Amino acid sequence: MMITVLITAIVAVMTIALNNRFRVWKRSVVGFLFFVAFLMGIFPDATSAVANFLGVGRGADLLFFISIAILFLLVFIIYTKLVSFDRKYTKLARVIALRDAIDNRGNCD
Amino acid sequence: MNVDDIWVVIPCYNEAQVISQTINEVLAHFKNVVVVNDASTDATEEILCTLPIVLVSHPVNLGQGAALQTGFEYALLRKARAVVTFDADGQHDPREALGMARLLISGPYDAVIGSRFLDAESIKAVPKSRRMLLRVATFFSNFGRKVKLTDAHNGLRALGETVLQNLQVSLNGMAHASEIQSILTDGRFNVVEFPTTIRYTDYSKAKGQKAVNSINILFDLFVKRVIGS
Repeated sequence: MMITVLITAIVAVMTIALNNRFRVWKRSVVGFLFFVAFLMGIFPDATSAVANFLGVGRGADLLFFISIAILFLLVFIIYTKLVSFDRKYTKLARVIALRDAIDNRGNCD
Repeated sequence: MNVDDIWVVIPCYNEAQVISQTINEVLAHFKNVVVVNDASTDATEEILCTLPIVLVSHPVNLGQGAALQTGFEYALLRKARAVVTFDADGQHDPREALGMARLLISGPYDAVIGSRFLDAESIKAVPKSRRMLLRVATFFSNFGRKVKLTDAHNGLRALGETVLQNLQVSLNGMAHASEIQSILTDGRFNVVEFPTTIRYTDYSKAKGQKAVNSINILFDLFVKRVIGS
């Protein structure tokens, strides 16, 4: 039960982080989650305690669930980055296309 | 404003088979035609060079939405008072395009939008499977909009300068139709529909969108909503 809440919270935080107004936060949020994952790697016993508190059987499972959420988010962030590159690339191509426009309207009358 | 202030924007990609016929039909009714060649890999470019039109060529393939936006920007550079968007595959009727342009000129409208679902005759021309899909698409496009339209994905439209100046097509793929529709239906513009008949030839059906693409369109729109424009 608690794990559902946690994962939902992570996804919610990340969605906010993706929103334009919170763009600055994006890296710090992801960085923080990485840091938590790192701590869990070093202190596996501690994760079991946290996992039990959250209602997940083992610490390893908790780590697994959280990693999936983080990876999902990272993929999405990279996708949005790609979309933004795509827009810039389109603008650039459009400028070139408009600059090189050929007006043949008078030629074939 | 008269017909000479109107530019016809035709985005095209690999249409060598039909492009010259389509354009000659359009030229019979309109003087100003801008064709945006979206980096076609066949003989389209060579054919376009021989026609009395303005040719704008994307250096790389960007998608139909991007090609339309390029055409709009070109038309605005040339001080167009309105544009008519027209599909290169020959499925639209230039006489209907002219009718829409005339309505835009004479009426108080900001945009005239083609629809396949206004009269019984043109509905019959739409293949059954396509009809269902378009109905669903239309339902979703109209959801929560101030102005309701009957055909979500019709490529034949006449857009006045007020619309053009507010329109920025950012979705390069086929989701642009919903994007254009969403600005037309937000209540700022006076929009009217015009009955059109689509000629579903074997060629246009093969070139046209696959039904599965509707999923991609939804995804593009979702991403735009999340990222913001």
